[in-house]
Amino acid sequence: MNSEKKGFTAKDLITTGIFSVLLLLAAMITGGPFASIPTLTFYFPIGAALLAGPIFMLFIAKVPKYGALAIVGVIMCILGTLTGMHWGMNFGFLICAILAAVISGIGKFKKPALNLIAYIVYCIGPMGSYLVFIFNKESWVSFMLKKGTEQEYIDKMSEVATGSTIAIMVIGTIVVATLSGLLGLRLMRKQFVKAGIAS
Amino acid sequence: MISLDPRTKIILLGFTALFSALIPNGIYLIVWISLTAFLGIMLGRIGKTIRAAIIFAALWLFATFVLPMLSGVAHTSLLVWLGLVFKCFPCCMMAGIFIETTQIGEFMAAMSKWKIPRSVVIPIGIMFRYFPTVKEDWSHIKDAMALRGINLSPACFIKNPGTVIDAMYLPILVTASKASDELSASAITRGIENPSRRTSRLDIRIKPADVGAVILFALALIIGYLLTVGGRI
Repeated sequence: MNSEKKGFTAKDLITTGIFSVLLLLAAMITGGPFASIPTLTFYFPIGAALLAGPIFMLFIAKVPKYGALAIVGVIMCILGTLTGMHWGMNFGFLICAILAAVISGIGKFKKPALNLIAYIVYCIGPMGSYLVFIFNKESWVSFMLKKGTEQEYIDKMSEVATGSTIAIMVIGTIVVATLSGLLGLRLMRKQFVKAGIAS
Repeated sequence: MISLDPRTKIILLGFTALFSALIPNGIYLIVWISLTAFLGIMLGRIGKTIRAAIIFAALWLFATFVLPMLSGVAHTSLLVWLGLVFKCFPCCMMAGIFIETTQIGEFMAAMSKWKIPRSVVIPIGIMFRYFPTVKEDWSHIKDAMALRGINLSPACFIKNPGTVIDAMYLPILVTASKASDELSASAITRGIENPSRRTSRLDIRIKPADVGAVILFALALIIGYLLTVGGRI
């Protein structure tokens, strides 16, 4: 890891910063409405996966290095922690960003198919918090709301969180991420490579 | 008017995140929001802080007086929504104050004192700088789209999805990659790649005001936690 970090130029870091903004905004624009409505909150990863595909593809084309996605993961993790997000989401994000970097790196960040898989893995990150909810409901509830305040919220969540919801969440995210990633690859091929922005 | 070290602001933001994690929504939230508002006003961000405080007060009054009168689905969904808003409000307010009262130069200088690696500090600094730019660019792009008769409504999207997608992504991604080239050119000119220790003209030190703010917020957090554990709120 260290030797790769050395390869970072200031330009790579600045590009990483700019694309983290875009990735974050893309997730917030389409994911935000889902997250704030309790019955739809489980579909947040689907919404978050919708727009970011092309941004992700251009980003790995511009900074084809292992550490780049890891830095995005670290930044999201720090920002998420400071704004009081659930730790499952933050670390899910970090882990999936690193996994995505490894997957994409197998093909030297050039193989479209591997980049697509990397994007799908990256989109699974925000599910971390919901996976914690499924496996350990007590800890999730006690983290989100202390001491039985707003029992109705918990009831609502438990009522919504059935097996099929989770299945929809996982499959929906994968489908949407695939579509968004394919769109990104198409845009790359048709526009960015021709325009000389990415090779 | 005081000015705080960026490190102090990060510590305060951390306290606020802890507050959201440890203390349930309740009357104590008002204390925390008042403290945050006081801090914002002292830091010279008066208008927006007062606006945020008024929005909070309105939501709070709504939750306390109007909400119990409703019933059924409206009651549940509003209660849940307000619960989430109240969970996020302190952190968002504090983060807003932090971002608006901190210059990137200050932030970078303070972070280099904490010896945070450059590979994390530079992207975060750029994020601060770039968020407002995206907003501005986006309004220009929307104007340009309107000129060509494209908008983001579903009707227009169904008619010709390809055009809408291209008109949305291309300008934003092209401006982003242009901006990254330009910003790196300017940053390299100003010596961001210099491997030696970063120096700064700014006077970044922990001053009495910083100590005071940290003690005030820490006390508020501890008292709130003890009251929660004691079952008072």
